[in-house]
Amino acid sequence: MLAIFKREMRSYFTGVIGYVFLFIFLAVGGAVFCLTTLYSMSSNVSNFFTIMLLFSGIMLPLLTMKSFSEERKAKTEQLLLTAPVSIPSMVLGKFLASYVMFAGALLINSLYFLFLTPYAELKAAILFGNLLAILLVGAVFIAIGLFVSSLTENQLSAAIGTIAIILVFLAIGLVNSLLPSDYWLRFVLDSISVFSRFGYFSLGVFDVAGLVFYLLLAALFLYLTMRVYDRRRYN
Amino acid sequence: MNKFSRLTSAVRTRKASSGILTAAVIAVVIALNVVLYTLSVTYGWFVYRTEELDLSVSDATDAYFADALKKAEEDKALFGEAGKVTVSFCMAKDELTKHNPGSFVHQTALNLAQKYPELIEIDYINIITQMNSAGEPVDLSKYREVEGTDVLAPIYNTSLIFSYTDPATGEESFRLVTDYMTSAGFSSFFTLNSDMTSSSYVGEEIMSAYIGWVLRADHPTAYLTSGHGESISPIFSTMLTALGYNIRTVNIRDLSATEIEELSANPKNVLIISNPTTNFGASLSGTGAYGELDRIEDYIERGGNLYVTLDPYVAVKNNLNLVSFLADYGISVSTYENKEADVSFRNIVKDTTSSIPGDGYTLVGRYAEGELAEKIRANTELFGSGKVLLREAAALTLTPGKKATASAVLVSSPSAICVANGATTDTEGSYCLAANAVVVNEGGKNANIFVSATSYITATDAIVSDGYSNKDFVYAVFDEIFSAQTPPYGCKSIMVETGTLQGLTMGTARIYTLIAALIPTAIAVVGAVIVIRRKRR
Repeated sequence: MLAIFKREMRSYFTGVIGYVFLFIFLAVGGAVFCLTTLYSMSSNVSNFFTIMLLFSGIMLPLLTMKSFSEERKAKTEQLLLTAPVSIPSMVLGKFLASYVMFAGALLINSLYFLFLTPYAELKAAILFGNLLAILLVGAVFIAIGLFVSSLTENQLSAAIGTIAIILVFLAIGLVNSLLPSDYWLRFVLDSISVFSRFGYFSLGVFDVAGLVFYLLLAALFLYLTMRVYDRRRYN
Repeated sequence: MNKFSRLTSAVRTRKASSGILTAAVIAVVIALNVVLYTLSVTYGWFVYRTEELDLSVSDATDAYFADALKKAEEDKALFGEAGKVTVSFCMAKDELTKHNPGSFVHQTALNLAQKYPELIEIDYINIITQMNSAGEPVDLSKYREVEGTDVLAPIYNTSLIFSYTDPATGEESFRLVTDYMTSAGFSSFFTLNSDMTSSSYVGEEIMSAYIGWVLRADHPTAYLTSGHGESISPIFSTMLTALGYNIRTVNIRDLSATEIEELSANPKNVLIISNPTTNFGASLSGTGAYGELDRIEDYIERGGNLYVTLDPYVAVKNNLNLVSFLADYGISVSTYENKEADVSFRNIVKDTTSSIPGDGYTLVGRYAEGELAEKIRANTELFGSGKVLLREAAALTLTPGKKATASAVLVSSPSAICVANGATTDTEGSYCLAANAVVVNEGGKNANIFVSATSYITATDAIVSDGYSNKDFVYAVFDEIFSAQTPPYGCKSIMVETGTLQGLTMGTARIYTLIAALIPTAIAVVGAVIVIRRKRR
């Protein structure tokens, strides 16, 4: 797994994609930070993280689109499948590489909140709650991206497919808000809505079930990716 | 069955079982999630911190009560016991601890009494039986008398009575504090927004101020003018009480010469003209008549002090007489005259560096050179940042006046400009934003005239802000210029969370923006260099 992880990280920083991702993510993150805090004279951290969550829904598919698609297109996946690396290690190695890129960029953006400490009392619980939530949601998005990437050799299709699935999760949250509050379906949809579960963390409340939900969802899509490759091995 | 068939069958079986397994995993994940969600909502599987308000007494009260504590010690040495200020609540103790917002006020009183046991004690009066906590009868009617009137002030169960008997003279002074503005009561200890919601809790300051009020024998009067659309924020009224003033409203044009003389009887009295929107009556000297401004001039000549704030967006013609009057004392409000259109506008100061991020009209004032400004600055920096926020302030021009010597107290930064009716009219910078003129009268009864052409210094959001020292600035003005009693500098206020950044200027925001822009740029440059070098190899 470590070998795959190192290989992926190297590919991000020997090629253009790693730098482009970091540049865009940090530039947009910096702009959002300035606009939602400094130029709004507000210490509300939730606005920043909500916008970055939506932005991640677009950026992370672009980061993960090449993970498996490129291997298939370049016909190098045969090497991967026959290498003395288990499929779970392979999938986890690629997942970790993408996740480290995302988490590193997000943590650099989050350091900007130190600028606000002389001017407002930041609630640590809300700041860390938002950060934890977006890291968890990011893990889910990356896992979805890897799964979709494993299904196609076209990188653009992988990106669009990932964004489409993320939009479905967004739509669940929107549909939910239209349902009557006491309707049973609303309760069920609330439980599987990525964006609804984000809400508790953004208020500084640590939702144990929410943490398990995000971890399970990410694990599910990673498992599905492993099933895809497991099936491909026997084809 | 041959080997190939067996393999195909095995693969088909494996595929089928794999598909079933995948579907089962998905179903289990969804089901598990729904169950966990249900349990967490039902049993509250959440972890969070609740924050309690810190109502402890700050060190600022030590300075405020220093003189009172010294007197208490001396009284104890002379008379065997020191007089104590009794803070009497008109509600039972157990009810108070559960009352919102009374519990905050009660806790603050308890904390003050605990910190200064030789000076302050707490009592609880039953206003029905008119008995205190020791079972002694209390005559509530004397606390209800309003000086100079036959009216009796009401007492509710949310009222407080501050009383003190001087052991040296045996005289009792007291103050009844009753909330007329809200049904919950105790509003004097909060700063209220225009919609009556609370923006901050200022219990420590106000309670200390009332305790200080009854401890002092001398109470000058702050006269608020009326009849010209004047407006005064409730918080400014509370601050005047904290400064030890009695507050009266006067209509200048109704006052006789004798009454004008009474206004200036106490050299610490001050006449406050707060944001008038219509003209004062012009001076009629030379005609034999006694106009409004003639009365004010008389008042000043007798040593009466003047505190003026002017809203620069009030039409020039509506303040013409008063502004011309002040010009005689060396303080003019800078005006741009469009002679072609025959219309005038005040020159409003705008600064895109020393202001808070925004349109540049919310300035962070600087202290001018000079002894007075330095003294005021020192007081504002005792417990706070010393920064004073002014919004939409007109520039003041100081000229050698006929009758007084004016000096600047607050100025803008050198990068400020003046804007009138949307157009830039001046770019010199360092405009005077607040000034004081000293009038030297015969008999040594000098008068002070403080002027600022902004209504914002005592606006609620400026006063309650922790990051700025507007409140201490106003206190310092009254302390140093009008010799008011020692104000409660730096007493703690607990702001309702607004999430607003306090003390950030436009210049600093730009520096942070630059840092946020440099980081991705640096990464892009490093990446480009690495990729290009790799390709060249």
